[in-house]
Amino acid sequence: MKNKLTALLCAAGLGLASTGSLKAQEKPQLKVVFAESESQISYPLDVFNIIDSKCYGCHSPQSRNEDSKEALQWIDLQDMEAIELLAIMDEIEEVLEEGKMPPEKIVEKYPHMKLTEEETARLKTWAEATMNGLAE
Amino acid sequence: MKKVVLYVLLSLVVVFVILQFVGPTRPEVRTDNPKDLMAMASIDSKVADLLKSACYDCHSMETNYPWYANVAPVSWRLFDHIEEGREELNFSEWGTLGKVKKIRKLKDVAEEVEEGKMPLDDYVTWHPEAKLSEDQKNMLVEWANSFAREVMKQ
Repeated sequence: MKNKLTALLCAAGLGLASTGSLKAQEKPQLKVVFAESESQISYPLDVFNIIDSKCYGCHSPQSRNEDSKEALQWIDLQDMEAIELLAIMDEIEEVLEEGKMPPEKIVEKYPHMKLTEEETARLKTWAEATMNGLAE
Repeated sequence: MKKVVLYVLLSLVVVFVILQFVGPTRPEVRTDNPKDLMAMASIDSKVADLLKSACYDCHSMETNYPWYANVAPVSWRLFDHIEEGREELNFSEWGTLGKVKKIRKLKDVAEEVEEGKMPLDDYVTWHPEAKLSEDQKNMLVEWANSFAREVMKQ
């Protein structure tokens, strides 16, 4: 039980690692919420780490890319209605399936940003599990 | 000089004629669709009419081909749009979608219509009846959202 609790982090916590270079006062509000949270989405630690290192840079309030901010904001997901969340998770799964993210341009410039097959598979399993939970 | 112009025109005509016999084939039309949205759910008749007139040409198997569907190369672009449209959302196959996909598609419909991305400008140019008024837009968006909530409860 304890393991499960510590492994589940809420979306707002996603800023944790990626804002390391920002000054302390610029850091977004961080919080760690456990499985009992009312939020309908939870991030196992391994999923959190993948998102944090490969997606959050552009899909966060600190991003300088307006398009990516508009397309997906991870930290907004925790406050979403189940039905909206469901649609977004399905889109995330589709984007993963088609290998559209991170964008080719980014991967060309920063090859380490590419999602490995294992990471893609992990995110997809997580997205599916989240959707199944929501759709029940 | 006159001869040159004549030759150019003639060869253009020849190319145009050849074009009519090559290129992609026309996407099939099917009128018997037991899994169609309209067969699977009861849709308000106003919404149903709107879907039929503004969406179904590309987003179902019941495409009504216009005359220019017979004229290459314009028809190629048209076939492309239809193929793509059906792939993205095919109302004739509605019943084959799972709950999550249905919700996703309805949310997409609401978003695309709200943002004015659908129906395509190209389509509206040739089908003025598909141009949505603000009221019609709102009606479609509201329908898509409320139908999504309905599906969610199922």
